[in-house]
Amino acid sequence: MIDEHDVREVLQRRADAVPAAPIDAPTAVRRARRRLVLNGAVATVAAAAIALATFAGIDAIRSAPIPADPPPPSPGVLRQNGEVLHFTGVPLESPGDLVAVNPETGEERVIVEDLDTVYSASWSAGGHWVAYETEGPDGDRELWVVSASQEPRQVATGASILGWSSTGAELATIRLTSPLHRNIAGSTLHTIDPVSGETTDAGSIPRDVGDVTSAPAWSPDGTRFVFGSRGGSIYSVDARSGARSLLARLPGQRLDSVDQIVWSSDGAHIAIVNDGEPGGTYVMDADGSNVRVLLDGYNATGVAWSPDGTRLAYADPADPVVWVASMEGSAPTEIGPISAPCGDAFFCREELTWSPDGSRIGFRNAMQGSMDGSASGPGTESIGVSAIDADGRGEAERIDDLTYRSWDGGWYSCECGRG
Amino acid sequence: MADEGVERGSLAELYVAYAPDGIRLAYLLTGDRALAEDLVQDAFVRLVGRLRHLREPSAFWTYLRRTIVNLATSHFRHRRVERAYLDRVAAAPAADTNSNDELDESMHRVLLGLPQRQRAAIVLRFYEDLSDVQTAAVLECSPGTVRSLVSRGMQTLREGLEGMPR
Repeated sequence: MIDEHDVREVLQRRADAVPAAPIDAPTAVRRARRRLVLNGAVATVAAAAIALATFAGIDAIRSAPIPADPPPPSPGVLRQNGEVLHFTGVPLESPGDLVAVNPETGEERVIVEDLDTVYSASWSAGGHWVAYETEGPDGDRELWVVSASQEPRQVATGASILGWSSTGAELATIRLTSPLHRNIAGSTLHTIDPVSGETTDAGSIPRDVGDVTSAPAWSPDGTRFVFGSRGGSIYSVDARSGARSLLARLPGQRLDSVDQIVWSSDGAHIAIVNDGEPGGTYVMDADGSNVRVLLDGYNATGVAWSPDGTRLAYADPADPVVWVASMEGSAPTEIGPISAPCGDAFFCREELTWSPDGSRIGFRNAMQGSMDGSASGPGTESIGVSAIDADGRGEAERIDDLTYRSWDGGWYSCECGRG
Repeated sequence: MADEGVERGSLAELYVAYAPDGIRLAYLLTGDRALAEDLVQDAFVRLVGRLRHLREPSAFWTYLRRTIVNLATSHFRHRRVERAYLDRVAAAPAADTNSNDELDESMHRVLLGLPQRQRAAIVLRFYEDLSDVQTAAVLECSPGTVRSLVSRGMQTLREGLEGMPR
């Protein structure tokens, strides 16, 4: 009769028989970073897209069957009172509903019920639509839209990152070439009319720029997008012609992947985080000139533009302190340490955002697991959220997570440590 | 297992240190080398996403192992995928490795036919050599549930391998 000893031996022999294929660590890490950037970019692009223009500069979109005048019929406003989108299930683990949560009362309103998973969701400008990415029965990613007057409609298949136009009348997507490894190079740009579901091809991301490590970031006027590649090169692509140019090379040594590119809402400046060793955090004019090094040797845990685009907040990870840099050229101002302490948390993630009126900066600290690597399952995450006046006066005050999420763009899901 | 004392190094160093063990574990859970690589890649991606925020690198393997097991569970939770996969495994010639050992092949085949959590419990207990408590932490269940999963899995293995020479 087979016993535990037999099982141990067989398992060991089977494991030993796994061919020792060479581990291409650099490639794997690059893939990992790309995917990370893209995962984070969903929210970033969605937030930036709120300020997108109507993509009027893209010929293909001009030909799209959306009448400019009169505007398309409004489907009615779906978002109420700064509601936050939330998936009630656990992504990839358990099904749930896509709901809108009132940040004041916590009351949930079902937008779409009974979904297997939701990877991301975003409000359109004005809150007329919700776009959400889920998974089909065959494991393919699917992009859906829903409004107050229209039932959920699938508008695309395959992994993508997305952003709403500033009017909320169109959805721009970057369709990725690989759902697993999520290479950006070779991915294609599309715009989607949520009313008709019609998709318009808007070109592709060039393959010949080297190792692309960042998600493309659309300019607020929709005329171009920028992306970064390994070594700190920042490229600009004209959305009308597809013409590409080198916008800037970041200064410094040992620059690695460009992980975050964020436009100011007025389109005048671009903030960049380079996750190198040592890496850095930069801000430049939109034409690539006047590159300023905000953090030399550290990549910020996050960058966030004030709503009017004149100030950039960033956090120094070495000593969780929030700084604000004015685009008028004055020296950055230390706003204060507003982080909850990480304590014994195994993971400690920090991010920041602005209040809609630009008067306060919110800081969110998500901690999970313990130093001994023990339980980190659903429900074990500890969240610390606070806000401080953006002028640096006063003390940080705790705010609730829903308020932060309402400021941050209005989407969250379980951050369980399921891995 | 990889040295759990690996200091916080570059991402590449972490990958080199932990990916081979991760692929072996994922292979035992899935029986598919390509899928195992994908799962480990995915697990690594998820953990690397938090690496910047990782406070204690020495526990990296603990978290990677948990992530691999969870991803394997998630993978097989998609029933259509699982059905297609099991059909493929059943139809595939038993020559996935160079081993000609009939017991090895048969046991692995029966193992892959177990419900995923039973399979994970057995692999964690007898390959990773975790205790019931440690296995329970990974599977996020009680030690009693682990013992039950292992017992039922072992029973199925015995039945499936009845009469096999040892």
